[in-house]
Amino acid sequence: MGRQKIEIKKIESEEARQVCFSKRRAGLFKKANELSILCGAEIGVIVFSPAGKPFSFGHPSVDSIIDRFLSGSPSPTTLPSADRRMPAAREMIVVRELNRQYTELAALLETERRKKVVLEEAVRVKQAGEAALCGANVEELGLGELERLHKSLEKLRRDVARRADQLVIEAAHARSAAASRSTAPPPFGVNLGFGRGLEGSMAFPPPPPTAFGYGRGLF
Amino acid sequence: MARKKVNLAWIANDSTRRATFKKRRKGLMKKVSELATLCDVKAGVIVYGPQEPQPEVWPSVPEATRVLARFKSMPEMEQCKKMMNQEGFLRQRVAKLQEQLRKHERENRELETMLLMYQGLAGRTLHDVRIEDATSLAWMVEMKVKAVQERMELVRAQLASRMVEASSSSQVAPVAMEGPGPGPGPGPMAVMKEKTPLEAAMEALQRQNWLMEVMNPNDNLMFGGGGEEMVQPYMDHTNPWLDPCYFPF
Repeated sequence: MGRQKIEIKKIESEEARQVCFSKRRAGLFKKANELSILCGAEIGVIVFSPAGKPFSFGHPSVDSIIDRFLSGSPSPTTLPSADRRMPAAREMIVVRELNRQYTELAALLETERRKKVVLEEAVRVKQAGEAALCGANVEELGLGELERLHKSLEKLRRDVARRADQLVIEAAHARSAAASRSTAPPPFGVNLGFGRGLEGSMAFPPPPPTAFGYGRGLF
Repeated sequence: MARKKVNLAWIANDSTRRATFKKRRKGLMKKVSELATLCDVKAGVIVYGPQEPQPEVWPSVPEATRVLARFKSMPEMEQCKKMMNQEGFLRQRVAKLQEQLRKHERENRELETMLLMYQGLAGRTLHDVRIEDATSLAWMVEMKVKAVQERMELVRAQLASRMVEASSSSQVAPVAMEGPGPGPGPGPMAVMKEKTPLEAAMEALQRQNWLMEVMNPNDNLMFGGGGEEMVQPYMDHTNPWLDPCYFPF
């Protein structure tokens, strides 16, 4: 992993100490959680941050552990007498289900990661090859190139609008075909305002501005 | 130390489970000890083994009791804010993955739309574009148009201010407007008409002539020695004579 070996004594820098606390606290809870799942142990962990805030982890719960501890550790209240070693059925079901979700998401994430690598490479290639055409970095273009790009973009805008209108009409056709009873003729000459750019009414919600790097020069 | 990934589920095998328990409990105590020392904080850990009536406690029973007492003495809200249990912990890590996944999906979507835009600019047909891609593309094209327009205004404004400087200094002479011909004329003119504030400024200063001069790289009146670095990139790229943009359609 390439980590440095650290001396176990108080960290002098306050900031470093806080960072260390955050990370190690998270790691500690992770370990405690694993221990509780793997071995069916009942565990309680309480730590106070450098600022004095309490962080706690408990299985089955912080309070149940505290109660059990303070009352001189009688046998745990939650376990069924039948099998005191094995965790309760419900608990195991929950753990299994959440683990399943986790692995599923991890697989999906991996797929997206790989896809991202491919896409980034494709974009990089395009930008390297035809920088002025795609206007990779607007900052670097000369006025002539800018004007050319502007024209191309406006043409593209019109083409996209046309395609979008076409799709909407097709969808409307499909809808009226599905609702077989209707005899209303499909709408013609529908102008959804796409041609004017997006200031007009949008038939479809635009992707939220946060979806794209708004204002980034590097498209 | 075994480094293979352990399935996070109760270990059915008794002896394996007992061995794991001993190891991991020891490890847990070590970790909390390090945390307490490194960060100079108070902590307490209580572990009840599956078969043991007595818990193992860190750092010690009295000390841990003190930590518990301090915890319990805090307002309910404070106690609960950062309280975690098994289920909560597992849910949290699922949520984190979901967030990461969504972020990647968003970014990939943007990259796909970008590619689509580049292809569109290169003349690719849009016959097979689906509605959701068309919408994203429309949005991105819109953003791009704005960016280009802003940049164009900026460049033109810079040109205008260059000319103001140049004219106020020495003899910037000869509007040797040796008629760069029909070429650069209508082109920049036509485009400029769209930009009102700039157009006004330019007209007021009667800079159209200067602009045509500027666009003709053969006349290095003002830009010969100036080191006008702002204008250089513009000058470098295009030969207006070959640039179809400057010729009327």
